[in-house]
Amino acid sequence: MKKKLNKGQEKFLLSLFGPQDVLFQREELLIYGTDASKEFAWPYAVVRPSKVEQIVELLKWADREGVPIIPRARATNVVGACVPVHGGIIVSTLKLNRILDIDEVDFVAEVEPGVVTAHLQQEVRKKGLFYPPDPASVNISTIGGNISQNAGGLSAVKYGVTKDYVLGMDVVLAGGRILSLGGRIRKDVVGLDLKSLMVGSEGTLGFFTHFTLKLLPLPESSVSILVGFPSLDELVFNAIALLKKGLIPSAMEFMDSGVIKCIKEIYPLDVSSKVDSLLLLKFDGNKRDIKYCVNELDKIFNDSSAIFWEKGVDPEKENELWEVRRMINPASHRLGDNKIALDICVPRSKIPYIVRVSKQIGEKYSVIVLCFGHLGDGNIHVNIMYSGGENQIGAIEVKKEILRHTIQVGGTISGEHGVGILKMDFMETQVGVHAKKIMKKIKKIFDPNNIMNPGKAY
Amino acid sequence: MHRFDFSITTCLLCGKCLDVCPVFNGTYIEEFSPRAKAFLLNKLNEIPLDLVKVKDILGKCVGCGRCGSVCPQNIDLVSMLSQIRASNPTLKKWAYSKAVEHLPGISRLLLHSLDTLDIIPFFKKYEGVWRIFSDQKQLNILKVQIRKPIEKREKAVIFSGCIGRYLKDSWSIKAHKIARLYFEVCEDMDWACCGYPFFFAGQLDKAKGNFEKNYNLWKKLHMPKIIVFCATCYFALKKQSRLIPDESKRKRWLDSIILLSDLFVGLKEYIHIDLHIKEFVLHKPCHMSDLSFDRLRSFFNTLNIKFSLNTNCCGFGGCTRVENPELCDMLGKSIWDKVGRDSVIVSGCSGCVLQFALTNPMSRSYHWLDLIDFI
Repeated sequence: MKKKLNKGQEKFLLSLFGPQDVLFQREELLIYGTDASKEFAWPYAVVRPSKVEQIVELLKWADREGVPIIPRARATNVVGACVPVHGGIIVSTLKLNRILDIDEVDFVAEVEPGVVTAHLQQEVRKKGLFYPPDPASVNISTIGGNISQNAGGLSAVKYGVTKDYVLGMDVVLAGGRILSLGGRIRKDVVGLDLKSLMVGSEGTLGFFTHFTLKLLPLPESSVSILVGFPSLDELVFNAIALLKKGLIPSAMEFMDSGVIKCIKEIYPLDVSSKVDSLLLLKFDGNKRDIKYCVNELDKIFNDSSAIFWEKGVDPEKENELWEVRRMINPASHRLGDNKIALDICVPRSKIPYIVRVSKQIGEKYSVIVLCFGHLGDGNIHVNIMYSGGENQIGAIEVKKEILRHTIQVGGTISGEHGVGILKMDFMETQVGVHAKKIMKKIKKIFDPNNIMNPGKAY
Repeated sequence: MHRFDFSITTCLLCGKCLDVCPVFNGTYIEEFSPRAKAFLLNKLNEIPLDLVKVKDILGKCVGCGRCGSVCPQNIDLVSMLSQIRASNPTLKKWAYSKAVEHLPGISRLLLHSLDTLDIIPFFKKYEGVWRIFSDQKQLNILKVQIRKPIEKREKAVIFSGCIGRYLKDSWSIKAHKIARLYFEVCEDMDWACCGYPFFFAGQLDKAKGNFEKNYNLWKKLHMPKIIVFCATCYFALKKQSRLIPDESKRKRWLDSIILLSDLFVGLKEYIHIDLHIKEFVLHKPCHMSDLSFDRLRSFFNTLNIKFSLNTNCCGFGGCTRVENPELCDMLGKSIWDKVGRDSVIVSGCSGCVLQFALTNPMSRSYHWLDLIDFI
């Protein structure tokens, strides 16, 4: 690690944050060089602000000195968005973690970036309200991180993704100016939509310090259903049939044959060998709607090729059905110590094709490929499992080929994880040279000296 | 200074441990999180690091084991830290181990001649607490009236743990009374410590020696049931079964260990309530299984007693309590701040009860055994 801060710079950080909240020692810095992507680069220092004023002063100074700034909450992203590839100062948002207001009339919450998403959900639920975005990391990731990556989740098929719930935000720009965008208003067509530009910008445009989030009334009831099909084509056909009928689930997950096989290794999943693919659905709403929904689903699946379907109408049974989905991650690690986790998104009609192609590519390189995910959005989690170095080279080739096919069918290389550093190579192939240039120019307007999370996303 | 001779390569850095780690959630300091410790251990042999600073970070752990319970890779960080401590002894941990080892003698000092506490600064620091803790009145809100034995009699023996044996003999007396309803209870044995304090402090030989002593006593008594009322003792006795090579004996040992609260909840039809406290906080010890805790919770629910739950770790910390008392004090105090400093906290682990007393000396910190009274 080359030391990149001089004594004067260190002194500045100490005076701004105090010795307890500035780190320079390698042993303390180590974890801040990585995230759930497992990539690593050394930061120069870590600071832990507890006030917005500190961030303003820091960004004034960093812009002047040309020191990179990397916002970091709990670093659960899997694309290396928090890895300081150009060095710089990691700014931890963990101490900016207050829920400032939950308004039962405006249906909004005002929060700081370090609030854990599940904690916000619990608090709003106490008031009969609902914050729907639910990425898999909902218990451990933060609102700030979710907004930076525009996180999706299971419920996106009905409720949309994180960006659909951001009504307003405060952003500190490089140089220290605070930009206040939006607010408690639900509609706003004045000027360009800079707030939406910020969501999913992976920390490259500014430092988020405050959010106003949209809330919904809490659904009264729910039902979950696990359905087994003889093929993925049949599963997709029937899933689209129920969407056409106006039955919009709050979660619509699928699991392919490989996933079923590996879950069976660690969990008593009692399904016949004829079942090739599983569809897991959840519907929420008022009790009358749920009752209607259950009747309609029975009709649809009775007339379909479904091999079985099992309903969970009480929370305990629902939880049991969803346990199958939760088993995917631990079960997958039986197939390899490491994995490359892709989150491609394709038009729904292309799901069977892309799953088939992904598996064929895996076979070509002798690597196991598992496919599951958010069928309703066409958002597929492709897990490329590998162990050891030789296997890793094959896995990387598999990743490249799958991403190429994804782009060819009109899909995206990332539906919800973001680009970070791990998908940068494919960014231009998807969006084109011109769009990428425009993105770079936009960044230059907000951050002329390129200090905000440089080397990421685009 | 020894180098550490292993690393954790299986950690996915997913961060699931962040949600449950009391040290991380109490400090918001990421380098103290289990994920950070696992990464530090992983990089030790790759990157030149100052081992004193590394040990300082690794020492910020209270040994609750919650990270292991949610880890998708089943990484048992507590056991790894124990091995590291074993290979890098320090004076403070030695003193702590000696303190646990000599608790019978120390408890006499604590309770009867507080002037001599200067020899162990840790105990001196909390000198006022010990007598309050030991002399605290029991709550006696659950009046147990039994007319006849409930089940057919098997042999059993009570394992009181160090705190129950030397500082709170009232718990042992009540445990005997409950156990006698189900079993033919043998006389108390000269048990050694359950071993968990030694294990976490890296005194692995002592932990093993204690286990062997306890295992031999059990065999000498013809393998009776062992009734335990401290969740951590229960956890430790079960965990040490891996030291028994013979599979059938290991199974017998595991089957013989019973948590007293699992028995007690079956007595609800014999209980009358004499409620002179408004409500209490039922604390979930980290080392009590969800199933046992749910049984205790449903038991109080069916009695219609008003209580709230605390599922955050008490932060007792074993040898970390001696090495980083400020950290453990802060974690304990944060629970009192959350539930209210005038609250009554009830736990099923002797260590938690002591920790709550240490962090709020004027408080009302109780074992659930303190709630009951035989009439």
